[in-house]
Amino acid sequence: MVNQEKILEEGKKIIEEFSEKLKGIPETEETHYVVDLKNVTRPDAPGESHVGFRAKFEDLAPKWDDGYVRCEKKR
Amino acid sequence: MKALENLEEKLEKKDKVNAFIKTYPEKARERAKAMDAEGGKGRLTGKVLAVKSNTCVDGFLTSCASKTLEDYVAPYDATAIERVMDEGAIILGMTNMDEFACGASGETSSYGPTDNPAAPGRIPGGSSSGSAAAVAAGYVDMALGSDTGGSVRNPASHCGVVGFKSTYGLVSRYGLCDMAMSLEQIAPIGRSVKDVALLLDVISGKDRRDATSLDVTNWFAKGLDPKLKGKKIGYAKEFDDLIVDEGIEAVIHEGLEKMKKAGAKIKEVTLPSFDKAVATYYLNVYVEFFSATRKYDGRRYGHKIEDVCGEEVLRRILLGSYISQKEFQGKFYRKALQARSVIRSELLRALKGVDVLASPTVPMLPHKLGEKLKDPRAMYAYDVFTVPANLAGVPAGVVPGGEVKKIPTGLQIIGKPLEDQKVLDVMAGFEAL
Repeated sequence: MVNQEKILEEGKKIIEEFSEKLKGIPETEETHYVVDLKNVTRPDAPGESHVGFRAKFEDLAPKWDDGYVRCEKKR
Repeated sequence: MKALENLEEKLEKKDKVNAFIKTYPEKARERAKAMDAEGGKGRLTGKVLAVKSNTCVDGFLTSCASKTLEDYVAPYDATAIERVMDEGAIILGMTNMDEFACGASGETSSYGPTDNPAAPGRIPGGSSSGSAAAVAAGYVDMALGSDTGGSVRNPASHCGVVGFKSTYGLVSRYGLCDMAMSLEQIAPIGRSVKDVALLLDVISGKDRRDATSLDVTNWFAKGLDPKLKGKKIGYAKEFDDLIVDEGIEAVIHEGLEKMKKAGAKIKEVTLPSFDKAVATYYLNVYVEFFSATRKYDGRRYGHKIEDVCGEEVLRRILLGSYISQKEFQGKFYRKALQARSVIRSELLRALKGVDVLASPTVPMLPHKLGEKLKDPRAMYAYDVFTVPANLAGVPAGVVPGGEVKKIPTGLQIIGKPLEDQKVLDVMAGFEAL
């Protein structure tokens, strides 16, 4: 079993160390993406229809019963 | 060779290295027969491909090598998959990988580690471990992996094959289960530069379903030009300080000498912040990975990730969550984004006076399977030469450079944004020496 607390505590040391390594980096612009991000919208028209998607979905769902997908309850 | 004949030849080889999570021989046979019947003239007609298990292939298990998605069968094709299928490829199966691409050894897979066909008993590298191993073992002609910080180049180096990460945006990420979306690209692996260039040409191009994909066409129209004469190749003096294994240093310098003899000019450049790249990369990755995994909440896809994942995946989620808390953003994440700007500027400046940079791919040889690296920083250290290309979004490819104690190691070639062709040309030139 993975010990979350131990991983987090050890991990905090790693990010402190990494942060220390970057201390000398001057205040400058931040790079989130190297390309310009644009919002992309589709033309104002009906969306694509996915013919056969329902049949495929039924086929892929692990448990399927009387028209409903059967899901596991939260553990 | 006919498609079916090629496939049957591949199927005769049993997977002895745990390269695949799942294969689909019957589907592949049907496809090969159809290709032969059609007499297809696609650029990949009859080629047998393997796909990393984080890239959606319609009807194929796309588990990301995690218990989280152990039952997830993709209901659609990624754009890269649509494109290889349109060109006649046959997909044999889904390959093993580090869980959710978190690793550089292939050992974090919940399906067990992959062995290295080129150096049995050692790790094949990662995270595209199975894709590189499948190509190296001859199970397939080519494979698709993904490269977020070297995940295609690192295993290509360890397995003695060719791998290439394109300029960010050249390949659509639609249908890729993301690890860190601002850094990664679906990327080709093959046994020759020609194969990798061909596969990259097929999968690249604008996709309206990925806002980061670039509108670039015919970038590879000229084909490969392997002439090295007159090419200016930069080598940073900082590289040697970061190489751990002396044998790798010798192989890389021999490679530079060979290119010099072939007429290339080797120029010294400087990258003063190169040693900060690993810290910058991981602080970015922790945050992006935390964000990317919020959809694995146990309701929309498979099991709740934190309940079933391995240690490295959990580490990245916990640290990403910790850094994302408001009070820490300035100290860790913002600084990492600024460091990314500095590393990118330095790399672009170094590339200004040369055609490409040459560098090692990995600082050390692959460790033995089962030799657990307890400190995650020891694993992160494999990435030191590969992460800068992802941080800067520039193209970088790996071609076999030589061997150290009979273990392959790759030479990395890095280029300017959208000069993927030039990088492939130099790789082809080196390959031909």
